[in-house]
Amino acid sequence: MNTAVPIIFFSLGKCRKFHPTLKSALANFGLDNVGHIEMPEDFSGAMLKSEVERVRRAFLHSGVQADVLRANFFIYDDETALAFPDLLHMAEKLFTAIYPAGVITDVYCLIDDVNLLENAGSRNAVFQMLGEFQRDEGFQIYLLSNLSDKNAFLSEENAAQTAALLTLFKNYTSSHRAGAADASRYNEFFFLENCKTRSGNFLTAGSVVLSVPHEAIGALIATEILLYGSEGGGTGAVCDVLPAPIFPPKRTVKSMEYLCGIAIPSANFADPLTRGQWISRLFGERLERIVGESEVPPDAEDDEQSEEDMFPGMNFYELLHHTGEDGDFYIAAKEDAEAALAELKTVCERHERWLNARPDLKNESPTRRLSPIKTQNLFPYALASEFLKRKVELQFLDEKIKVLERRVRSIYKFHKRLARCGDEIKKTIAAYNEKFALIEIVFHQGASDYFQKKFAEYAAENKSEIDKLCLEMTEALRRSEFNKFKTRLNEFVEKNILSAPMFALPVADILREMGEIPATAVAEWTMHCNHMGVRLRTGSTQLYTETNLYVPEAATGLEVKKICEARGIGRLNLFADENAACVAALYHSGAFDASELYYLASEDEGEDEGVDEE
Amino acid sequence: MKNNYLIGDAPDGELRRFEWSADNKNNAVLEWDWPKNRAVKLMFIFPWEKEEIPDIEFFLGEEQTREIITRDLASHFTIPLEAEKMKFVCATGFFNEDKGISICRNPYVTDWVYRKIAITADAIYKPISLSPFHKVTLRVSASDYSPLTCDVLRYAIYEHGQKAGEYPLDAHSMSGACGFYLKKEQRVKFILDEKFGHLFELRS
Repeated sequence: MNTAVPIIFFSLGKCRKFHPTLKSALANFGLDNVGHIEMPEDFSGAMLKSEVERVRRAFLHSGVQADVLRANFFIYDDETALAFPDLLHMAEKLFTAIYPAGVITDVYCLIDDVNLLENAGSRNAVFQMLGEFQRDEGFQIYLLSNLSDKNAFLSEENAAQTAALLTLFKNYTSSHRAGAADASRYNEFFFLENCKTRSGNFLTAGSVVLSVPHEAIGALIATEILLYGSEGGGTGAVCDVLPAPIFPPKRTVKSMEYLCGIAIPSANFADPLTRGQWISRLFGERLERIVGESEVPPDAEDDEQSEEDMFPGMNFYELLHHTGEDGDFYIAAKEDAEAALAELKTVCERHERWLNARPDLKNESPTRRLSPIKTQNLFPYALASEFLKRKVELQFLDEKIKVLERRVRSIYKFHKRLARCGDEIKKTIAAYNEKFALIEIVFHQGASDYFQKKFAEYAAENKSEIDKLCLEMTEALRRSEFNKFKTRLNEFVEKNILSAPMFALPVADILREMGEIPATAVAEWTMHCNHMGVRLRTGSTQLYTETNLYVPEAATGLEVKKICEARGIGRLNLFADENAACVAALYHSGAFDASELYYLASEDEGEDEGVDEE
Repeated sequence: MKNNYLIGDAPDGELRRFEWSADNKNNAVLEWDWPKNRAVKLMFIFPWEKEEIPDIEFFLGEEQTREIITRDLASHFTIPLEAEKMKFVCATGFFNEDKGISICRNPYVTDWVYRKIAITADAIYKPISLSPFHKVTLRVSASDYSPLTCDVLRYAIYEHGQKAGEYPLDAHSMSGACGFYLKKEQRVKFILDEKFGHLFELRS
């Protein structure tokens, strides 16, 4: 925005601390053609001259040439403000030489109503000084209080914003007004004519800005990511099959050559014994000992998966669902373990039947030629070999069951741990909920749904990115690094999502996209803001409040104007700038005589006069 | 006898070394280095077969067996192990001014010393005519009964110096009633588990 008239902002004494905040607010509203001069309360003429000259050269350098200048002076309600008369006179002398058409002067006094009692002495002196100046010089004096009429604390940023908006409105040209707005241009005199005032021209002002609450939206998006997949969407990479467990390999069975070295007693193989009885008679318990001593295959002890490695690549909520007692993984693992138990039972029964039966000596008695005339019946060793094979199989099934039962227990313990992680997520979401509650305040009820839908669109277009982030969350939860992930999540939301086109819309576009009547929404908001007002501790009544609304679009603004004025908000002036990213409302309330600003009563007057608000 | 002994400690009266072992004849062998204090001239040795060790006063009673070794003669002592396992309580002593004897209050006590069981194990080879095999019979006997014998003893088959297999034993297979056939180049060796070396001695 380009103003025709250059403006110099003076900050005197304690107000120099306010200066950076003011500069920032002016930049927010795109005010250029401004210069800034900071002066200590004990300034000298030479100092002031040097500063004025500096600013003038800067104006010339940037191509600003005008016959008239606006000078805005900022002071605090303390003793450093008492140097203001000297500052003003010296400045006017310097300006007269440079700007022959004159200087339009406004004074802004920041008053500390929070520490009313502490500042009483210096405040009275400052108001007396200003009152004398106003009567003699006639320029506008604005009081910017740090308390609203609801006794809510208003920050210095608010005061700077108000000053910036006042400057903005005073410098609007017709091209910036909403088309078909009132023909009369906003100016102080018009305002004052429409106010029921006493004599004196101290004005109070406040402002609010409706802009997109990025931090709140970021909190909402972060919540959506934390909940991503909890309603069955998820990564889509659901494993239908439980990952296979790792069983230890079967133990090796001794060869017949080895078995032929076992010492056995002589026996008549025609004896009617069962296989079990033969084994007992020939080998005693030595075969069991041989089975127990058979080499343990490598990696037999390493079959237990650590929880950190279980089910990699799955979304947290998928994991939570599938590992729960009703989940696919738990059920499948239990079924596997039960099936293995059933198989073991079958094999055990089969083994018992084999042991309890008599051997078929015809088919179970291989022989070995020891010499041309001597043959050895290898029935005992064939029996031992078959026995050992069966024992190894039983042993394998037993170990398999242990692995499968361990898997069921692991899934159960893993699920419990995930549930605790879920509590951690809930706590984080609760903290985010407090932040994004602001969305409903700034916009209206239902605004959260709008932003949730926006995120859903973003997630659909960037599915792999969101899936990857959710997997990172799952990994972080597994490894107890959730706090690190939260930092990463906030960075991701800010850099990747909030900067995406669908979230970078100006507030007016957002209001339109919400599907409601944007004008109604802004009108509601304006009505709401109108109640904020500023503190009126002067005892004045019958004050007329004027509101100026700064909206990005003329059409919306006209509707808002109609709604608000129909609802008795009073006069609503509109200013539009299609590049604006915010909707701002500036409120003026009343004009006061300096004598009404003496907050404290003297001993003779008794108690404080107090507030008599409209 | 008890009344002739006092209980007391001499300065620098600790033994500088105290060791014990069992030899292969089932004797317990105790060895020590006498203390710095040359007044300590006596070593009282009390054999003991129970877990709990009573106070030294008990051992000084008339009923208790003891051996006394004097400093000038020896710093070791050998005694047959009359039970399967025994402990030895050893207390130093010195002469008082009145020629009485004082015994150290805190004796030295050995761990259990075990009598070793001697295992004799043989493999008897019987050739078979016209056969590359021979029949092997195992015969194992022990000087005393121990339920551990079957667990501590195994046999292995060696062929050309390489172990081809190792096998457990039980009472039946050690009795001489069990056998098997081996190739003539194969031989049997018996193996005693080292962990039980202090309880068993293998002679094969």
